[in-house]
Amino acid sequence: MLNKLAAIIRKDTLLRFEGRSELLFFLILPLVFTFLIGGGMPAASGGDNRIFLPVADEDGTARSAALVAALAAGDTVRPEVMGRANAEALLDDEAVAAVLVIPAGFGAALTADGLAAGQPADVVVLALPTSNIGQVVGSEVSRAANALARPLAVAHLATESVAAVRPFASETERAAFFDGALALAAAEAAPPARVAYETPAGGNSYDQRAQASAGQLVTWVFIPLLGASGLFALERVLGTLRRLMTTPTRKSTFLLGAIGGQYGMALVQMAILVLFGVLVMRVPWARDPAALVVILAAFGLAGVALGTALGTFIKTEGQASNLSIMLGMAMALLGGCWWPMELFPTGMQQIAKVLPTTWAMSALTDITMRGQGLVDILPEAGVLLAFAAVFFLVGLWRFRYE
Amino acid sequence: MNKVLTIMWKDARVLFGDWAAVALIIAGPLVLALGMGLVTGAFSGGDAPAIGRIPVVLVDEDGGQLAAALAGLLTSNDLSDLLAVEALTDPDAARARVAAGDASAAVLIPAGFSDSFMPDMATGELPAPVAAVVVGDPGAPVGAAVVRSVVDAFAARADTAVAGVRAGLTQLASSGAASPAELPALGQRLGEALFADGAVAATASVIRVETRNVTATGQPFNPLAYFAPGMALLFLMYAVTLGARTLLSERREGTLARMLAAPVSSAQVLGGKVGGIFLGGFIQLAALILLTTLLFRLNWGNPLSVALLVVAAALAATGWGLLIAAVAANSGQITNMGMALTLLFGILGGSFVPLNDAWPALDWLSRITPNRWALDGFTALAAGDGGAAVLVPVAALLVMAVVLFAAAALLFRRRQGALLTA
Repeated sequence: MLNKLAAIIRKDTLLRFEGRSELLFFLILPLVFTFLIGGGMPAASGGDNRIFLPVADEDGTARSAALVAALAAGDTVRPEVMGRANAEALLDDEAVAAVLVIPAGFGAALTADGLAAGQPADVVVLALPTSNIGQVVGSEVSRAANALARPLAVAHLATESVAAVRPFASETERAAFFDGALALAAAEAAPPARVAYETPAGGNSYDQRAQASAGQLVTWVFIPLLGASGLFALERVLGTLRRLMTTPTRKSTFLLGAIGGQYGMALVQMAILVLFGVLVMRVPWARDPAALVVILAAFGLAGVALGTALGTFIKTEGQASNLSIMLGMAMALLGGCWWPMELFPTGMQQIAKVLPTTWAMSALTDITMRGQGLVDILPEAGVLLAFAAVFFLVGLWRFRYE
Repeated sequence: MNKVLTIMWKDARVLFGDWAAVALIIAGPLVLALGMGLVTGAFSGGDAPAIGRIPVVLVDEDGGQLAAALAGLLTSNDLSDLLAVEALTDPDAARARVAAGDASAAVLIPAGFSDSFMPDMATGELPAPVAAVVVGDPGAPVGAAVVRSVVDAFAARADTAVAGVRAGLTQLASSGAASPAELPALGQRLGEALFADGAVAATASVIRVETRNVTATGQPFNPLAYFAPGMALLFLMYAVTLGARTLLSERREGTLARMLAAPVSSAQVLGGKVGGIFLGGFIQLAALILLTTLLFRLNWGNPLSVALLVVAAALAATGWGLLIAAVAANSGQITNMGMALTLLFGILGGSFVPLNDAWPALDWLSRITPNRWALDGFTALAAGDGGAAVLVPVAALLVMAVVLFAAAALLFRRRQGALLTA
């Protein structure tokens, strides 16, 4: 029995890796995708890696200059003032993904009269629709604008609230009061922290490297596991399955060997991708090794079981190859492997629970980002094992030698 | 010419007669574009991700006026489409909900939060701050960031209001407009006016930041206009490699030799085969454009420019297909190399995710891919740009096609005997 199993596993491994191109899909492409989508290695210190931000300052006042200076003092963008035509030309050429426009009237809106008029000072971030940089720049401009606006807002509130309970005798008095309050607010120390931000105990903040490492692992391991269906199709087409009938080999032995081989290769592939994540991307995969082993083992079983079940429906190796790519990609995408699941509409999040990829990704996020352990990922592991049981039963029930 | 067209048509029929291949090159990109459309909110009419209601748990251990105002803001009608807030009493239970991924964020308002904003009426000094805590789920970064930004904005406005009261009182005292004895009562009145229900939340921003996506029409950009061509181009590369595979599989099966036994020149056979690869790619891309227009109501832009871009993209992709066929030893190698190139070009050319933001250095490398040029052209057209916007992408794709055709021809010439005979 064991000899037969070993022979089948050896045969399948040799078949799969008979061409060196298999290494592309087994190793090279998964690593390249993980590295590129994860944004590479953690940033090295030194050098100015801030986003270059052309600024069209059409206002030209001290206030607009202060906004640019506040941006320049931050860690996110590197502003450079230029004409609007030049800035927009850079955007049109896609040399930059966002441009800041400070319209004329910005400074005037931030004077006592402007604030009293109740019209906010506008700034506009023009962004390429195909880039996320616009959102990043928008957030950073808001941060700098709030810091710049605080003394003005304080002085404005002071003036308005005092005027409400004790009206000023003249506009001159009102203006003098505003200036005095503004001087006080500007001299005030930075406001105390009123909000503390935490992540769950033992967890870390969102990490694109962890998302890419986990998501690409699920994607690239799942596709070949589904592709295991091609192995059955190939053997059926070549007639080797029929030949097996003439040998004293039970159906269960053959299936166990075929499935075991694919499963073993998936475990090796997962181990390599996890090691790459730990050593190169600095992803905290090793936070709870027992949890990691359990969930990867369960995910591998669910994948190979689905491949086995698929193998009983498709007729040729080509069909298996095409179907495994399409299904694997779609299930990875809808399972949250490419983007966090929270971006999906609520209904879609519920529907996606019928996919093994969703449960695998959820557990891997628990481990790498939420700081969860073995006990916490057991529900996901249980669901994956249930998937495996159902798919294996379907595969066993429908399996035919011819 | 008829012979060339016959071979072209035969190859296209063979390609589209294989339901598994059709499923991959037509249904595949449609399903993936649909999934990406759902993710990006392309079907909700907005240009931002159509994130569902963010699950938030709230624990108010303070019970003060500001805590009530914050809770009121989080559960207000204005935010009811964005946040689904559930009130809890136990902070540990709230943290556990976030740790399990059941809530995107927990907002914990500790006892003393409201009082810590209130300055001493006699001295004007503020007590030590007691911070509200936002516990964010790292697996739900957008939802957690939204909740954090709502709480941050509330706290900043409350803080500004407090600073306003303090500055007002200080000014009144220093200018002699109010005596020290009057200040406590005045401070009480000012505070009550500013911290009345909802007043803090309603305090307007002094500077308004608007982020505007740039499109020629001024209309919001539909994210599907990026992902649909991205997926179509990804699978175009695979479709042409399926076509290129027939070159070697026909040699293996001997049908190529049989064709040459007929009154057909080798140039006509090769021309027909190349035409067949092109036709397969063209039909696949055109069908996807038609289907996404009908199913997703996607506006691809000026039809003539779109057609020009489709032809140029299919030609460039055909060039890559031919080059693979020219260097591969058998049809299995073409499949593997084709799939590898499909995926590599997909990631480099931006079919999966736009990489230029994170990897500016890859920009030059992406220029060897038909995906990048065609995607540039398709997104420009979808954004409302005129036909001139596709001139550079079309020219680049045609140059790519010519170079690749020439390279493949050179390689084919070297191995002509082996290729055209069994």
